[in-house]
Amino acid sequence: MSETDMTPDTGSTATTTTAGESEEEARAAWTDYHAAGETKLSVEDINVWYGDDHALKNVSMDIPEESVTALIGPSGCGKSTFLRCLNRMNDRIKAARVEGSVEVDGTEIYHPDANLVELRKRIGMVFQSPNPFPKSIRENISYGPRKHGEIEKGLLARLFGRDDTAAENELVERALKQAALWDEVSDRLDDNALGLSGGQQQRLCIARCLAVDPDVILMDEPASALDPIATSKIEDLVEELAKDYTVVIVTHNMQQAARISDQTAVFLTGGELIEYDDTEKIFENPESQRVEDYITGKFG
Amino acid sequence: MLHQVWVDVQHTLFGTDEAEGSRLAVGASAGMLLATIGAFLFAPAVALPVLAGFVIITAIGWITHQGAIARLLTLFATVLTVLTVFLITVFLFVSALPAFTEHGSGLLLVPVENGEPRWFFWLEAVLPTGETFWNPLSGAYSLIPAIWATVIVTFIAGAVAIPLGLFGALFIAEVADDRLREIIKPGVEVLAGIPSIVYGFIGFAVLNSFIQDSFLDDGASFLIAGIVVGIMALPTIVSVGEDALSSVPDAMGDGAVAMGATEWQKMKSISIPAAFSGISAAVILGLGRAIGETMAVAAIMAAGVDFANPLFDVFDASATLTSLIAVNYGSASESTLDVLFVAGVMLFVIVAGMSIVSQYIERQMKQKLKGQS
Ligand SMILES: Nc1ncnc2c1ncn2[C@@H]1O[C@H](COP(=O)(O)OP(=O)(O)O)[C@@H](O)[C@H]1O
Ligand SMILES: [Mg+2]
Repeated sequence: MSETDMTPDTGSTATTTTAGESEEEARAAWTDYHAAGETKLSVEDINVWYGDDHALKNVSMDIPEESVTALIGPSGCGKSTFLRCLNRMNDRIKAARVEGSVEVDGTEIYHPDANLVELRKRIGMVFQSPNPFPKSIRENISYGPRKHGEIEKGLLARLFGRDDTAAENELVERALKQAALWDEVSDRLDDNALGLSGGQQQRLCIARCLAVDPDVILMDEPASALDPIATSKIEDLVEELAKDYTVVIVTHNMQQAARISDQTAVFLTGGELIEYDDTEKIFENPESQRVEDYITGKFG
Repeated sequence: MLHQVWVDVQHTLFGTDEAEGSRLAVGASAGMLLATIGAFLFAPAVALPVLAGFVIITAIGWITHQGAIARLLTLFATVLTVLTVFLITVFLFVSALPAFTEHGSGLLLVPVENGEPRWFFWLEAVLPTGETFWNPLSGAYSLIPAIWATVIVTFIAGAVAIPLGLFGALFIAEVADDRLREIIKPGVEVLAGIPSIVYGFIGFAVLNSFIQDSFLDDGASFLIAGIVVGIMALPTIVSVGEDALSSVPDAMGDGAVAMGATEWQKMKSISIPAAFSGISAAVILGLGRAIGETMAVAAIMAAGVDFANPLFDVFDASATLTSLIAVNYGSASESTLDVLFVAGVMLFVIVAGMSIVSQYIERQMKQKLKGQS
């Protein structure tokens, strides 16, 4: 608005600006949605560039706690980029530049003094293809707590009079049970995790993430590399987890989003968030024509 | 059985896509090749004209049946390489045989000092002992001092090269950004190609005078030779170790960092263990190569054969197995030469053994990371 005021321009440019703005306004209305629950993550005007490529444009949305928020959209529209903004994994990509604000429980994570280790303990992430460490199942689970000094065991620890083997066993059992994997692996906790099936590996990655005790779990197409049975296990698990955790899940599978999520955000090509609302509303009666086309398969 | 062999031979020689007349071209070329080898062996006078015939026939075949002739030439080059290595090995072992039979265990004679055999890992109890251990005139040819010198130099080289190489590889693979990596990696590979005499000279000129100036007036020593050999092994270790670290899937490291591990924790607990076998292979390859390097050590310690005294004195000096051969080869008498061949056999066994171990370890690593892209 203010920009147009300051630079009154010739007719044609003004028209485009107005047209752009009206779409912008509509978009603002379509994405201005507040779910019933308490807000866990509050994203304000996030922009991401990869070099000169503007991959994510002015995305704002509030993500409520203890629910499943699905991010859908055609591939390349910036879903993964957006997800990585939430735990600052984009920081590790040299070409990426992030502007904007993300607050977790009201605390800015892009504050210069933000502690990335603490942030990533609170916001766990599950990747597109399972990425267990080439270690035993047990070591995979206790990896995070060990790195954070919450579990110390082994020779050195014992020399200092500390041995958390019992605590570790408890943790491993708890995390594996939460990830619905305990029954399948309880008798081979010391086997290499790479020997598990793809679906088991992905549930192990979820368990590994739960072992750190996060509040939020980010999942980037966690089932896209899995067969239908493994996929449905992951879906059940996601619904179960949403009772205690804030789950943000990227998926390109619209049925999946419709099945498991409480609210859905639709990104379309160009890195824009077009519409964000209750999942039912998005799938039954979206405001945006483009979203409707995308959901009914006419586009994307 | 025999038929199957014949089918395989045909398959190898002519391939599955043979064209009209390719059998003739390949047959003629191969025949001339055999004739050339025969001529070299039994009638050297006519060898050149026969060779020329082979070249002409092969050239004609190249024009008419390029695919078939190219196939023959690749086969020929491979056979030539394997045969050369095989014959050299046979030659080495056969040449070493006389010294083995003549001196027997005398080749492993442990020196005596003040009437007592020197301590050498309790081996002095089983090995022969004697006052003179290296005197070509009186027929004393103990290789123990040279073997020990090789061991000391290798250990010092490892102490220099392993930590530096590991950290260098970590820096390139995990710390440096892409642009820096693109400069450093080829640079390191160029360093690996520098002839060892250059390193030897630098080692001698710079390190030696530094040590003499600063705290010792004793010159050439195991320490300097070891440091120089370690530096020589460094580029190989860095470059092969970096390959191993880079081949660890990024997804694993991402998983660790996303759980709140720091970059350094990720390197320690994910990258290095996952690349461990590759890194060990790099170390063995680098050191194995460095042990075989002659000129650098020879340039630093042209000194004679001497048994380090005390055993772990790194400021002592003695020829190693390689420099023993390099320094004595030109002037050696018949019987010394035979002993040098034994030294050659020992080197061959050591370096070949290290190479086999490194290949085994590398295979283990591939096994370990299987299932991860
Ligand atoms: N590491 C990267 N470097 C450069 N460009 C990237 C990188 N990651 C993603 N992009 C670009 O950003 C855009 C959005 O990508 P992404 O977030 O992966 O989309 P999605 O997950 O929706 O398929 C794409 O155009 C992609 O090419
Ligand atoms: Mg993606």
